[in-house]
Amino acid sequence: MRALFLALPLLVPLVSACVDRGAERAALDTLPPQALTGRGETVAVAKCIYDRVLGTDCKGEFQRMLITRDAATGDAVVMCDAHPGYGGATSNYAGFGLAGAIAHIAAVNEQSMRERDPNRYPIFSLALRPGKAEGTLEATAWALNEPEKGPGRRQLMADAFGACTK
Amino acid sequence: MVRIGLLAGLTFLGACADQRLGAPGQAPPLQTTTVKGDPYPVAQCTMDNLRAAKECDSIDFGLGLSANAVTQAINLTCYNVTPTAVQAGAAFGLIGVLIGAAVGEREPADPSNKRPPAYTAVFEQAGAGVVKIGFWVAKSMEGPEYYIDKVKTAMATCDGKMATPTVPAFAPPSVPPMETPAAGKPVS
Repeated sequence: MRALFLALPLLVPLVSACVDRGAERAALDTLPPQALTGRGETVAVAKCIYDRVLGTDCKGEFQRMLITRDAATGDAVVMCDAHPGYGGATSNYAGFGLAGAIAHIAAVNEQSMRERDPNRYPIFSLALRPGKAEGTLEATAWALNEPEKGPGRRQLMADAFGACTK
Repeated sequence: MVRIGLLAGLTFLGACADQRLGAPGQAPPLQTTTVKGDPYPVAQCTMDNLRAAKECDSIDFGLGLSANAVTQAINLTCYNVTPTAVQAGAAFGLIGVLIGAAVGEREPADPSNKRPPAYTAVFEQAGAGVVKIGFWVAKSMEGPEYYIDKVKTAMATCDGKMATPTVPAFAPPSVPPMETPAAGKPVS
């Protein structure tokens, strides 16, 4: 029994490596941001873009559409966030007997710490800020360069901005 | 003995919690309604009534309020607070639950808890003195109407709650704001 507990520190990193989505996405490139301008009021335009995009993409179990504020720049951001926490406990480690159970539970428990990670993991986003002239808006459309999907997603946000600032 | 009973209960509920889906940001609300008042006072009053009725108040679930940093909408959420380790251990039966309970801790009932919630009501200003409320409910055996009715019942006495001049409606001190990370850029 003691040996099982001693083996745990060895097993946990192995298991958690399997579910580390952060490392997976860090390997992906990002598309160059696209600058846009239009007319409107930040919050109303953010809500309009959110409503247009909701349900068209960002439908995975680990994904949610959000309206949030960028703490660094103060921009209002409409984004698709892919966070490991949204799916709940997901370790698919299947071991043998009690040792397997203990390793699984320990891996999920460690994973729950990452699930509370306050960072966002954007897949595509649109950052909004008031322009220099009264009533104007500046925006930045951005997307993760996932093969075949990235450019379309950046365009999705650019189109939504265009439609919401007419 | 009581502890064993509680843990057996957790095993059962933990297994159910895995099937939960349906939260803001995934789909439009299942249902919307409007009442008179301001979002924060109406949401706070609804939460107080739900708490008084012991709704969403168990070892598995807890209520929390949070304000959106941009839209100022107030989210009233019934969070899944089962320790993740207990939920994972449930797959291995009572012994798994016991191990899970030994190593796990209760998840918080605030926006840092991103697990699929049991239900969420979002209170938004829809004009002067009008609050629009959208409902999202996870898949459950009882069906969504069961939970929507509970929130609506709790909301009944909250119609017309306005912000008092001394309390800023959109900057309630007791409401934890949504986290505001550097979005729009990849976060490694």
